[in-house]
Amino acid sequence: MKPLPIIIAVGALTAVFATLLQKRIKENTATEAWEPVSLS
Amino acid sequence: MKVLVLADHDRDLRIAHVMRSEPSVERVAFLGPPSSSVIERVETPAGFDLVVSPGPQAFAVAAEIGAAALSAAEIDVSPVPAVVGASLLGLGLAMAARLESQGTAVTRVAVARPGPNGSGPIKVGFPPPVGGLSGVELLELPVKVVEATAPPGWASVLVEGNGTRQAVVDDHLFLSTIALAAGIALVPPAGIVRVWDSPQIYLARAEAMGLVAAIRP
Repeated sequence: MKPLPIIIAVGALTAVFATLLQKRIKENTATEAWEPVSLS
Repeated sequence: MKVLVLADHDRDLRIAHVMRSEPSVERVAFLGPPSSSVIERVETPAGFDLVVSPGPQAFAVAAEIGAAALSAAEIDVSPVPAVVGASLLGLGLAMAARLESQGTAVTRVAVARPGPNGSGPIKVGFPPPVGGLSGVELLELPVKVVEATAPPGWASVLVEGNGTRQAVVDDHLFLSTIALAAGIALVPPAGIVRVWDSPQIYLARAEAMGLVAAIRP
């Protein structure tokens, strides 16, 4: 296999992993709009 | 009311500290191995009106002295007047019962507490700093309940209903203590009361003790 296809494949895989990681981080650190409320 | 806390660990003394601030409580003491310079320690349980414990020990001790019992444990039959289920799960079920009484259909209750690392297939979005977790569904409960493992030191209770999400998130020990201590508002003259049987009274007392809830429409 020539270097260029390998670089493209590695780049594509890196982009996919980066997107998944970003999504996971966003899910776990979401700053949601929670507001204080009284239960009584 | 004279309150006896069964304290197996130092952390159980926090229950006694919270009880001291209750207007209806005239005396608080503990029975058990911890030591305290603030809370009275007794050698025998005699002379108290209410016995409190995180576990089920309160029922037997209360029966021994003819007192009422308050526990995080859940039982169906008690030899003494008892408030049961005063736990994080009970708090969640009380929040759910309150929402239901206001006409909101509750779809799910979720509880996160520290524990052995583990996760399940069900995703739950607790408020920060607990955040997104994966948990398992508990069976044989009147409403869908998911339990998840929280980061060390933290706990959260989340109730989801149609168009609303209500939650509490705080220090695990503090939240567990409040969930138990607030049950003092429900001590019956006879029979068993589950904390979600009278959610308004229970939650009002929990808030008076420092519980802070949040909503996300």
